[in-house]
Order: sequence, then C-alpha cells, then structure tokens
Amino acid sequence: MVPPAEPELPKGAALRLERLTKRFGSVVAVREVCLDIPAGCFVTLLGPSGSGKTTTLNLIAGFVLPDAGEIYVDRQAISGVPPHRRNVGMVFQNYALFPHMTVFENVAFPLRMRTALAGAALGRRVEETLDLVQLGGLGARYPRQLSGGQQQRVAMARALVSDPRLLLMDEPLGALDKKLRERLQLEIKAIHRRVGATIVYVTHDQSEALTLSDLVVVMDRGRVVQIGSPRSLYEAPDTGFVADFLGGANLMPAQVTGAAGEDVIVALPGGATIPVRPSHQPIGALGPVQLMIRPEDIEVSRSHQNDPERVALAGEVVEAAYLGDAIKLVVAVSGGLLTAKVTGRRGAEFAPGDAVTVGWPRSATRILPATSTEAAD
Amino acid sequence: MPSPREVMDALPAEDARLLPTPAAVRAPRPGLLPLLLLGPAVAWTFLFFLLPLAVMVWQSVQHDGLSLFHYRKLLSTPLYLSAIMTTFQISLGVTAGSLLLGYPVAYVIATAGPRVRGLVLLLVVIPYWLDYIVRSYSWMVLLGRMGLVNRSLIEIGLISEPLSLLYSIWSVNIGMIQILLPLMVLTLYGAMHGIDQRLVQAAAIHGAGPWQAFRRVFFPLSLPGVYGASLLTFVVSMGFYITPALLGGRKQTMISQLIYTLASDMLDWPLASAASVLLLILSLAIVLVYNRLFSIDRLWGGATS
Repeated sequence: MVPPAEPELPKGAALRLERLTKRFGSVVAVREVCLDIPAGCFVTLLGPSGSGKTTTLNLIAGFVLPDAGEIYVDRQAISGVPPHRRNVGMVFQNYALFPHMTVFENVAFPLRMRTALAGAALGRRVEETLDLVQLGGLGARYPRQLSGGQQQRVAMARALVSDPRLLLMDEPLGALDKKLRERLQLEIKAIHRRVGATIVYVTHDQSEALTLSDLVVVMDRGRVVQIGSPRSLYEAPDTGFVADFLGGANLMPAQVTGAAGEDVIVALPGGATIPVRPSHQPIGALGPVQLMIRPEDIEVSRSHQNDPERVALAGEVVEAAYLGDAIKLVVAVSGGLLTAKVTGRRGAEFAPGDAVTVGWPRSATRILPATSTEAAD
Repeated sequence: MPSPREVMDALPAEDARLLPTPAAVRAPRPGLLPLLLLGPAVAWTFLFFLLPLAVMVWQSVQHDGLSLFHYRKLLSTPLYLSAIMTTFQISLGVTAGSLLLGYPVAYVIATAGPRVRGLVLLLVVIPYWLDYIVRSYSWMVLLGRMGLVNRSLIEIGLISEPLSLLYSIWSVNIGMIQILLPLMVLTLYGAMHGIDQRLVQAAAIHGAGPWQAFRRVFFPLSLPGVYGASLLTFVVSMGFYITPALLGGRKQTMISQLIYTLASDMLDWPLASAASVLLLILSLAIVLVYNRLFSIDRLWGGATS
C-alpha cells in the first residue's frame, strides 16, 4: 500500500487553489481560481463546456502547468511535482483503461508503480478493490470485453486501489445511460463515505452535482461564480446564471421601485408590483433586477385567492407537458413566460388556452442582480 | 398480424433491401453505373497486370509439359539460392536498421506539439519526394574511393588509404535504409498517432514516470504498428533492384537483379519467370504473417483506436 502515512493525517487531502490561471493562446481557460477544499470533501466543479472545469482538474493532476497561481495539497505547493509523484487517483472521461492489459493488470498498475506490493499481497489488494466496485471475478477479462458500466467500475478501482488521498473524476458517468448513471452516483457516494478521500468531480450535469457533492463550485468562462452546498446554491443562487444552471429557474426582469418596511417593491414589466423580502444580498439602489422563482414553487389554479403572503398573477396556459411524476405548465403572464412544475394529478386539468392564476409564496421569490453574467466581465 | 412495414424493420438491412420498395421500383437499374465507373481500371489491370502475370506463371511451370523443373533448378543452384538468401539478409538488415532509426523519430512526431511535428514530418518527407535512383547515385558519390567520406577521413588524418565503402553489404544497407526510412517513419507515425495520449496520462497519474509510462503503455500499444511498418518495409526491400545494383558488389545480388540477369542477359525467360513467381510467393507469405501478427491487436480489442 501507500508508504506509511503519518497516522494523524486524515484519509483525505486538503486542497487549496490560489489564484490559479491558465491561458491557451489568447483564451484564458482558468482565471484566478481560488478554492479551499477541506480534507475528505466531495467537491464538484460544475459548469457548461468551456467553463474551465476540466482545465482546473488537469491543473490539479499536473497534466498542464499553471501560468500563475499555486496548488497546495495539505499545505504543500505541488506545481513543481510531476503527475506521477502527486499520489492522486483519477477517473478519466472515457475511462482511459489500458486496452492491452486485463482488468486485473489495469487495477494492479498503480500498485506496481507506487508500492512494493507483489505476488499474493498485490493480488489480494486488487481483488479487494474489485470487490469494492462489485467487479469480483472479472479480473481476467480485457476492458473491451466489458460493458460501459463495468469499464467505469474498473476505472474507479484503478483510481482507488493505491489509497490516494485525492481522487479526481472527469465526467466519469458522462458516457452512460441515465439509469446506470443514477445507480453509479449512489455507489460513488457510498465509496466516498467508505474510503474518505477528497474527491474533485467534474460534471456539467447539475443533478449529478446536487446528488453527489458536499460542495459545488459553479464555474463559467474560466471563473468561479459561486461556491456552496448543493442546497444553498439551489435555494440561494447569487446570480441568474447559477439559478438557471442549477435546476430550472424562472427569471423575470423587474425594477425595484421602492421599499415598504423590510420589503422592497418590485415592478414587473407588465406593470404589476409585488413586495419581496430581499435575501442576504443587499439590494440597495432602485433599478433593474431579476426575480427568480423555482418552477416547483409556482402553483397554478383557476380561482384567485387573496393571500398577502403570496404573489398572484393572471395568465394563460400556453404549453402543458407531461413528465410522468409531474406536469410542466408554461403560463404567459404580463411579465413574460413562467414555468410551473405541478406534481400529482392536479396539473392534468389544465390545457393550453386556459385562463389561470399563477401564484407563489413571497418568500420563494429571490431578487438577483440584473443580467449578472455580463456584469461579471 | 404485423404490417409489412414492421416485417421490413425486423429484417436485417441486407434482406430488407431485397424487398421491393417504391423507391427501388422507380430507381434506374442498379449495377450498370458502378460497372461503367470501374470498367476502365479493371480492364487496364487485367490487360497489363493480371494477363502478363498469368503468362509468367504459365511460363514458369512449362518444361516439356507441366513441370516444376525451373523451380527445382532455382532452388538447387547455389548461385540462385544465395541470391534468395542475400535478399532475405539485406531486407532483414534494412528493416531492423530502419526500425531502430525510425521509431524514435516517429515517436517525436506522434507526441510533439504541432510545430515540431510539422517540421520533422517535412524533413522526413522531403527525401521521399526525391527519386531513389538519384539518391542511390548520390550515395555512390559520397561513399566512392575518392568520395566525400573517404576524402574527409583522410583530410582529418584518421585514415591514410581510402576505405572501400562501396560495393559491400554496408553500402547497400546504408542506401536502402536511407530510401526506406520515410516509409518506416510514416507508417509507424500513422499507428502511433492512433494511441490515445490520455492512456499515457492515465499511466502518469497512477504513478508511472515517463520511462515506465512508455515501457508499459505506449510501447506495447505501438507494437502492432511496429509489426505492420516492419513487414511493409521488409516486403518493399525484397523487391529492390536499383540500389543494390548501384551500391552493392557481386555478393549483394538480390532476387530482382537475378531476374533481370536471367531475363535480359541469359534470355532464360522461364527461369526468370520462376524467380519472379518465387518473389511474389515469398512476399505474399510475409503478408500472411503480417495478418497473423495483427490478430494480436484484435486480442486487445483495437489497441490503436
């Protein structure tokens, strides 16, 4: 196994990125990224393609060198350390299994390179790890003889076998179908609990990020946009970009026109004004903002009730889509289109053309800076 | 009852095509256009390649009726046999030399950045454009008794008498390796280019230093390319004529030179035919070996893809 680590060291490594910057030609792939990841944390880098998440991972792996900034693993700067000395495990996007080696040899590879293990002891360690990823008994196969899901598990086993304290995963489930993906997500989570390594996981799939992570780092155009727990990011996004990227979000342009006690008065484009309790962000000045309402917070009904704690707008159903466990209704209101996700059988009674009232709790309204993604530039 | 549409969908594509579809009924008669397009080339190949080849094979087995006389003569005459052995010996040496020199070059081209890759590729390809007769003559100028090499060596005082560099197995090897090196490098590069660099990264991140990553991952994955490029080089060397004729001595007579001598000096066309057929058979046998070796690749499941 790994050369005897000091016993008081936690199983995972603490990772710290300091003003990390990487340019490819004139393109800044990663721009002054700062991250502090506690030991044993499962952190996800989430963002659209081109957001710099994979480059960040390659910087941590050492495949590319930063133009500026530094990476610290357990407070040690590792920029000068080549990849093979970083003691990191990695699951690649298309697994990158060695096609000329059996499953056993693939998994044994890190042990042969990093440890003095040989013979029966090495075999035991490989078998244990194969059992951990539920591939016991398949050691003699070649990767091409395995299904995509099994190949993924081999890649996991190879990354885990030498007990690295830092595990990097680059869209490891991207090539699998939805059902298998969801199952493996739960397995990865279980494995993380068991091995305790710090995991940096790259994905563009927001539901994957929410399911797996202790900490989600949302990236956009080479920058970190927001960091937080899945719940805090989902419930309290700082910008329209984050709100939109993590789950569906209704974003309505609006104007702050005044204040009433703790609330601010917000005018929608259609003229309706609603009082909203601002979030922790100070919305100081009057002016343009965005309102964010999650589709599952919106209720659609035929009758209008007067409830001071709720916002209600008249509208017309323009689209109804059946999702199985819910129905998605798109309703045109004076401020634009609102998407509502109605669970249960209630949504079935609405059809395009129906005049309805959409309503949501005032507390479910979040005020965000207007067109914040451009403002960040 | 399934509808005809469902039946067609259930059939494999090949069979489905046999069923009359509205489109097929209206389409012009298939088969005519491909024949027209292929016709000229097929006719040319038939007239000027297959037909003479058949005549040659026929001639080689004629001696008072059907007989293997010429083949027996070829394989029992020490002079002819030694030409065959020489051909193998030179081809083997040339292949080994090209591989040793070419592998590192191909590796650099396959793994370097685009600028270095473009430059080295250009340097490899430029001599390829030059006719090999010209290159063989150039080697005569360089390696001759008063050639550049001998004069330089005398000039710096390393030798006093000119070395006989020409007309030896060495000069033939040097000339042929120089001519075949681009072929070796380009074929190797083609195979190495297909090796996923992320496999090398995967080796590195899992603890392999540059040498281990090369030895355990890149090199084994490049082996199918090594076999392919070597056998290609070997087969091409076997048919060499001009270079051994110009740079070699009498001891370096290869099969092609033997065929030329038999056909145009000794006018023994049946024996020349038999020698040609033998060369053809040997080359084909090597191609078969090539195929056999490539099944190693299939065992891994397409290592180069």
